[in-house]
Amino acid sequence: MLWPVNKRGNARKLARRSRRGLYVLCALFGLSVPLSLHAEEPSEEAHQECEPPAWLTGDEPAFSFESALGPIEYRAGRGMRIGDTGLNIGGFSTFEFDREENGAGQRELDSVSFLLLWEPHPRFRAFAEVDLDSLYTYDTKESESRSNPQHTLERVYGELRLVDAASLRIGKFQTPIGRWNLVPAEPFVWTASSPIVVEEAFDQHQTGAAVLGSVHRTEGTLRYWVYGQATDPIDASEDPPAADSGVGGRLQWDDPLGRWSIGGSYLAARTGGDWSHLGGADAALRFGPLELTSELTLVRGDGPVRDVWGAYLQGVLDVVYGFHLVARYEYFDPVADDDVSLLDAGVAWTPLPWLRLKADYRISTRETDFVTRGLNTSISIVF
Amino acid sequence: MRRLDLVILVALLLGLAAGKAAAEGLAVVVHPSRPLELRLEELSRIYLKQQRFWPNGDPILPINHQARSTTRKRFERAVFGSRPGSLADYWNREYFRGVLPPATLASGEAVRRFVASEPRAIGYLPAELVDDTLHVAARLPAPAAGPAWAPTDRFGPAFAAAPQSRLSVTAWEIPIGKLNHDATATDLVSMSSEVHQSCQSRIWRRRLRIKRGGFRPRGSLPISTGHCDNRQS
Repeated sequence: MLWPVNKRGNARKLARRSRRGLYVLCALFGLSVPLSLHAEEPSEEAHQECEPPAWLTGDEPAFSFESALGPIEYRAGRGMRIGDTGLNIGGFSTFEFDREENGAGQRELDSVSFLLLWEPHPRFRAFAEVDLDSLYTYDTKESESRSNPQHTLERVYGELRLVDAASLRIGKFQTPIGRWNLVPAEPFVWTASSPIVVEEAFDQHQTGAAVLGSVHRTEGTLRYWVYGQATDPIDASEDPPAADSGVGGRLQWDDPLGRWSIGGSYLAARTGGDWSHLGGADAALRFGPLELTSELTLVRGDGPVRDVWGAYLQGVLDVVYGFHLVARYEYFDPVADDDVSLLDAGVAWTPLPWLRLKADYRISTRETDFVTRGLNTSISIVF
Repeated sequence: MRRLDLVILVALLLGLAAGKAAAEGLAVVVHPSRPLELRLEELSRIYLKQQRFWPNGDPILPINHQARSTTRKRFERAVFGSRPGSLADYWNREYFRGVLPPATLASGEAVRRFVASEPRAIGYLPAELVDDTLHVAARLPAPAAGPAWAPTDRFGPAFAAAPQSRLSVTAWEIPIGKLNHDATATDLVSMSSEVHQSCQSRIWRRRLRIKRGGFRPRGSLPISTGHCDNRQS
């Protein structure tokens, strides 16, 4: 008789324990919800501990002090802000080491560029890029060094921002053709060499006026540039000769998530009385750590120098810790029967936001005046 | 026994409540006089300085938290969904074009105070810091664990715009160069106890890890409150 009673008692105890165990499990689950939401915190903290000091990455000022103009502070890679004047002074520089397949090579401190920004009001800014060129070159084959410092006003303009859809820019500015030429400087690109078509097919700068803006929609953003050059270009290049005048435009459509973008450009330019017409199309695609960029440029005109077409496709893979794998295929046809194909492949490493090291090797179907095969390396800093 | 059950049930409810609070994530805030509902792509454009003006033509003054703060990292993950480093690349390229990143303030309290007093400003805060002095223009969900570069569901139901409020127009007055400096000085005192608690918690966790023989990065600094000063949200 006792056995069934004990069994019932045990069963009740078991039921109570089970219910309590269930409550405990539920409580642990409930408590684990906030814990799991913060589950990444330890790894984030560990990541923070691995990060270099904030002053070294430019996240915080490397130094700052009070002055009569207000606080003056310098951030690595972001320049020096001069108090409350709206003035910011910074720049960038690149040291290059090149070794061609024919044995020629050089070490070169090509230029130091200073970026001067004055933004006294959110609707107006003045901007200038001043380059100190040809500072130092050492020819490894001839064992001789050269230095012929000179300054160039690469860009200088004032910009009036009326609304997002319309800004007026007057001065010397980058020619808005394709992707590369919008930001062509060494520290901001992924290879130590530039695509031939960008260097040879058109003038990199315009001296004149531009109206530009962005129209934002839920489906994406439409950007446009309309510009013209009517005056003699400031500090223009002589080889190839810069255009005397021109008029052009660009349209670009960006996906709202930043996954893809397409654009088209047109430029009519007059050089020594000859007119040339440039048409271009470009696209960018980002998929996770992979970024693809492509440009196609076609120039037709009366002058033989301007009768060219070319294209490139570049892929950049963000591997880990700022380490990128880069490959670019180019095709360039300066005149009929004189075409060349090139392949650049290499690596780029950005250990700090203001420091980029690059090494890429270029092979081509043949060598020309503007195409060399071999290794190009560079160390770029932004200050 | 019943008391024990009650304690367990209370723990369960508290846990769920805490979970709900943590799941509220971040609130994007503007001055209460600005009736705005912002979508995620608008936030992205504003904080990338691609959209510079409010619909009424006022300049937008986006305010960031310090780069190392957890709030900033959560915001960037929710809005940009980008791989670490890609934003740095973006700002490098913008630097070449003469565009600098948004101004930063030293603490959530500084952001709250500044946005509450500046009609052109926009900021973001942990949802629990929002009060009646601010208008919530959008809510960002707490980020899910996973690879930092995974695309976020930018148009998903978790992203909800806030109710409407009023609109006002003001002229440009405050020089951007003054923001960081002033706010840092003002808020150091008021935030000191919060910072201390945050540091103590981190130091405790780190001690525990080291004691267990866990992660100790190469070149890490010795445990000190000074090492912690840059990391509060």
